[in-house]
Amino acid sequence: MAGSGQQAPIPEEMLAAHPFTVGMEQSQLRRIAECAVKVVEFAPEQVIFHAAGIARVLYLLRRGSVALEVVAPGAGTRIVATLHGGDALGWSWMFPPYRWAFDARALVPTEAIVVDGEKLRHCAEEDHELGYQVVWRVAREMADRLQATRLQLLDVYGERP
Amino acid sequence: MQPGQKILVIDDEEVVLDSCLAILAGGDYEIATATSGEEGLRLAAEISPDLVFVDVKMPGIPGLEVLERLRSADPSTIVIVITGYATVSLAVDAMKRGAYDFLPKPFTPDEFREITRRGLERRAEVLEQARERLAAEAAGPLPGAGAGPMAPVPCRVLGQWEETHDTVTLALDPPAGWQGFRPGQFNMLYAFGVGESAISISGDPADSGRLLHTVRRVGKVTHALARLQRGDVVGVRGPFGTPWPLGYSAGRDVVVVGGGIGLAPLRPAIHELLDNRERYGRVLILLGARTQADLLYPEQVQEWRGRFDVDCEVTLDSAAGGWLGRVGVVTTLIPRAEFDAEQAVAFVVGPEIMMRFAAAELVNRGVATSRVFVSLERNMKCGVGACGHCQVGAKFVCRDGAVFGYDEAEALFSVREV
Repeated sequence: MAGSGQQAPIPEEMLAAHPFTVGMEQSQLRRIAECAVKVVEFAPEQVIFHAAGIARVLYLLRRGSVALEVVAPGAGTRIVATLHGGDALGWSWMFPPYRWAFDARALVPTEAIVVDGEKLRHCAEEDHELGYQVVWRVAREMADRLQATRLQLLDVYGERP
Repeated sequence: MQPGQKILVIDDEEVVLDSCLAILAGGDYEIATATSGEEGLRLAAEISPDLVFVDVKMPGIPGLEVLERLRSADPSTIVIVITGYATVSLAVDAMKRGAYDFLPKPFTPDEFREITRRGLERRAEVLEQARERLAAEAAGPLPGAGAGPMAPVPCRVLGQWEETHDTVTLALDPPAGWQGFRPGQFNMLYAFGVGESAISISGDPADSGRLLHTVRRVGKVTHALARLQRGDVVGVRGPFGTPWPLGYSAGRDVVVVGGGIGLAPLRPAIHELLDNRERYGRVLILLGARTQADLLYPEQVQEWRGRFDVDCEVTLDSAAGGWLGRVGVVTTLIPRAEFDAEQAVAFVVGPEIMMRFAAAELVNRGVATSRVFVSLERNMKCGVGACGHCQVGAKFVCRDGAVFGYDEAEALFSVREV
């Protein structure tokens, strides 16, 4: 796992401050805190993960910017989206084959809470109410990004040069 | 609410009138009551109420007819229909006849107070927008257009520069007696021998020495305009159209959302906001472009981003690996933007799809549709509401717009272009 960081129990208050967990009950926050591994810091230009790499964790971004990008032969690197403090980075840890779809690279100094994806999946399977809360939030992120991506695809700003 | 606003309640049941009086007692407004449609219309003609509640089922003139007559006498009157026989079709019928809202009986005191608050707030917005419109009309067409608003006045091109691969800005020498323009207005620019096109004025309203228009090459006329060079002559008619409601926005947070060339008609408003910064709450400028090369006025955007009293964010639909900024459509900037949705106004311009989605995000944040303003540019030809080319429903984009409140524009967006 990329990034330098401290490995200590993650305070529930730190998790509670992230938009991803807003509205969760205390007991659910506690379970997620148990799955949280550490807080990491990425330096500018640091690669967080590569496409096709094994997706083991969820990153809850606290500050900074991350580019999701793809390298296409002949076209170079294209950034498909940027994520920022308050966003959740990565949902490939939820679904088989648990492989990242894009590269992720920090654009500026970036800090994130790292949550063990496998552990969180097991907690969600044991506690369906927690599972519902996590899946609902991931689904919401996916819906928002799908809508935004569709708008990007429409390319509404006019003719290309 | 503004002090001294007048409320009229028309209902044949005395118990309802007494109840309304009791609920609103102590508030800073004048309340009148009537027990029939006839009496209500008579009172309305005397006191010119800001807000009227009218019962649907009354002996004599029925409530929906009273609604229509009230709106016909003064279209700015806010009318709320109340009824004990609420159905969807009745609600739809009332809205089509001009009702602002629909309140089924029985209603609680809190419901009545809340709908009163919203109705009076809407009345204040409507009056302010009407004042802005009158001021814009008072500015009038260019003097020197002695033959009327359809005669273009020759203006010399002072300069021309490329903004992006398909966009240029023309700087024109304003004609003698030019009295300026209001942000949001447009001119009809006539490329002699080719044709005319509605082009938003994109410069600083305070700059009386030159008149800027940013033109995107899309057709024969705009290509011809984009080929004009220093010393060439272009015909100008205007300014036309409704301005951005900057007066109404005083004291409020202002969220400016621009996509692509949509920044051009917004820039004059941004100039006014920043030159009179103390008049407004938070000012946010949220901009989107396809790529970095397509971003309009990049040096100016950099200046805005450098100010401490403005939140300016830029996002691109697509970027190469060296870009360090945001990537994503401009609507993604809205959910976490920091502003008070309860009182903010928003000015949104871009492709219609972008405006619809941006407006939806703003409304989702809690900004009332009446405080989201968009600029429509559909098929404008004469600029003065004469040819009907830009007619959409009962509105003429050139005369009643191009700036519209989203509460009106939402329905217009659904009218497909012919």
